[in-house]
Amino acid sequence: MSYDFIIIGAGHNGLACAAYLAKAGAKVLVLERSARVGGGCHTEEATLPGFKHNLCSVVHTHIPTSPVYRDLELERHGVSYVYPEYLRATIFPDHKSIVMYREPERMAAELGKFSARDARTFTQLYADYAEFIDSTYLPLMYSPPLPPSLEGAELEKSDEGRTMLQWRQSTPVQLLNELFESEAVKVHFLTRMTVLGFPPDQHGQGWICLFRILTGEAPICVGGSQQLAQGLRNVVEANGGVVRTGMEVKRILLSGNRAVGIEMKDGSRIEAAKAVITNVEPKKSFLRMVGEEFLPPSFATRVKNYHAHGRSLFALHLALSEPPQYLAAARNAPVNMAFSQEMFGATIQDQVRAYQDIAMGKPPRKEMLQITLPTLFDPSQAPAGKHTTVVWQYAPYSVAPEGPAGWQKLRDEYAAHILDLWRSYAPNITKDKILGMAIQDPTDTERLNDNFVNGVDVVGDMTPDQMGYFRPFAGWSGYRSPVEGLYMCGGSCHPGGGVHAGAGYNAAGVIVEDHKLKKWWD
Amino acid sequence: MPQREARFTVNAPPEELWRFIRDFESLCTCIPGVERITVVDERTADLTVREKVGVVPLIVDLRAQIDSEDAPHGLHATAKAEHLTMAIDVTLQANGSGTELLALFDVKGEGQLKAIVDRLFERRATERTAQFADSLQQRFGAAAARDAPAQFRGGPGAARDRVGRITRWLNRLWRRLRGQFTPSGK
Repeated sequence: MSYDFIIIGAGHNGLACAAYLAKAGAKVLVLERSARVGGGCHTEEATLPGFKHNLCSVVHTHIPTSPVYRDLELERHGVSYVYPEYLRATIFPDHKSIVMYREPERMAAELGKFSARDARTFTQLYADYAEFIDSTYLPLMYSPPLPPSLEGAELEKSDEGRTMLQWRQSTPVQLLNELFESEAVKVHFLTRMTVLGFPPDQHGQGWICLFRILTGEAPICVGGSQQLAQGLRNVVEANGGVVRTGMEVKRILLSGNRAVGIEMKDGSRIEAAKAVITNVEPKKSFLRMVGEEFLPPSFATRVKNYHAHGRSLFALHLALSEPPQYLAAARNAPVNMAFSQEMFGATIQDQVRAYQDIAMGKPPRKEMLQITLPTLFDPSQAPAGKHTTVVWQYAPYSVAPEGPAGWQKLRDEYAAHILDLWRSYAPNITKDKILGMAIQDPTDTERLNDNFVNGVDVVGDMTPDQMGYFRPFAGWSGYRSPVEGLYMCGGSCHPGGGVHAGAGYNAAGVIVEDHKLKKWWD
Repeated sequence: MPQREARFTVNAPPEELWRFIRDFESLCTCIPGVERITVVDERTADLTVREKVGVVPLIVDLRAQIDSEDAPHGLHATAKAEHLTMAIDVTLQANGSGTELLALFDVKGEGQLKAIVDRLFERRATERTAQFADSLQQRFGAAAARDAPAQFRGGPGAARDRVGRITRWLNRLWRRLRGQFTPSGK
């Protein structure tokens, strides 16, 4: 049995890569250890029949505008999106709120309720940088990362570029303190960062903070997040590719320094005539499936030091008989209709302290809550008139002093505490409104997905030492590896975790170039 | 590969317009964003172009070279920078008392900045092409609107005008052949 390419892992990046290669005429096999495809695109009836819960990704911010959606004609393959009118609502403990709008004028007006100066600053930032963000940040997600020297060289040429370089080095908190005066406005924008797992006080995150200030979208995959994976699978299979689930790869087979196939857990072998592509995180891919002895020592060291120690999420998946009604909506009605409601305290220091607690293994007792209710926008995800919601609270993977096992003792109490915190904002969610509940603590997140080591749902920390040119490792961010014919295509590669298929798309581009296949999409 | 096409008529005979566009320094007064020009030889010039993306300027150093020409009917030029190559085809055709100018710009981002170059050209090219047309029309005077309102093609979502391009290429080829086999002196 032989294929041109074998892809290990049927997460959305693996499937996207496979789809591009299959459409290029290659013979492609995708192998998935679990019983389903999709990785973080995982929709399941986790509480009651008919209630579809998204166990990891809920929103696919970049997919509908990505080259992947266009090139693979995903809409024709059953993938479609709905767009909430109101994007996000930050709710403060005094029940004031800021709703996030796509239109800069409406956004500025919303910020103006807290500070006229901040509203003007936002408007000016939008005028100055929105086009830059759109013209650079997004295209760079869908191309291999630039070396820092090249980025710097272009920006060093002007005063404005040098300002951007300075901002890039700053922490989100530093940047927000430089730009805005209202604490509420700062909390709102800092939340845009921390919900993605970016620490609030980490240097080198300024650009991402600027991006998150100026852009926001919340496309919800109709039918649930899993539908994207299914659509990608449809493209692979429509182009002659094969996708097999329940197939655990044990080893990547080498001939000299060349990957030539894989060995399954049951001992069977499959040959890859051109290459093996791994969508599995680096430690499992290289230390377990290849073997350290076959790697250059410097590369093996980088693999061993790839880290996933950031915040994880404690999630409650709820089946509800009615949607939450927030007290904040009395003063700002769109709060109830926003894609998500985010409750992260009253000051930016609350978020900084929460991250410090998490680093110490202490699950925050204060609310660090993000709530989403996809059924408000896609009723197909629950029985008529009913709703599903996911309640996310920032949390550590390892609970002091017991470690990850500590969650077994803590999870029920913590779930009740989180619900109480939420009810202080949305008091109608009494016990009788909760028809069913599934608790997902950080150890469950890791169990659900091999790539979410330590429950970090972005496949390794998104820190400056593991982003862009440094993801996964400096010198190896171009989707190739030191083993010939072994490529990487997952969230451990640029542009990182999250559902955008950027890594799968970029890897496919490199692979067709290396193997002189037709790059049909460019 | 992003493409743009501009077709407009100016109030000058082909020979006068040709002299203008064939002189790098005069031509660059009509190209938006050109900050500096150094003429290297009769067919080559080095340009520095500044394109602002929001508040952030991108500064591009280009070498422009005329690859072939058929005075006063048309030319093919190439402008190369570190991260892009732009092919430019210009065709002039007498149109009543004026001259119709057809310019086809074909930009190819290259290397590590390809994605940015392509995106930026998609965003800006229509506007910049219109500014180029406007500058020339201001300089020479636009022909009456009924004859030749400026037309721009290409851009996001526009269908590629393959038939039109082939037709234009055949026209250029025809003119070149005619030039070769027609006694000079007109």
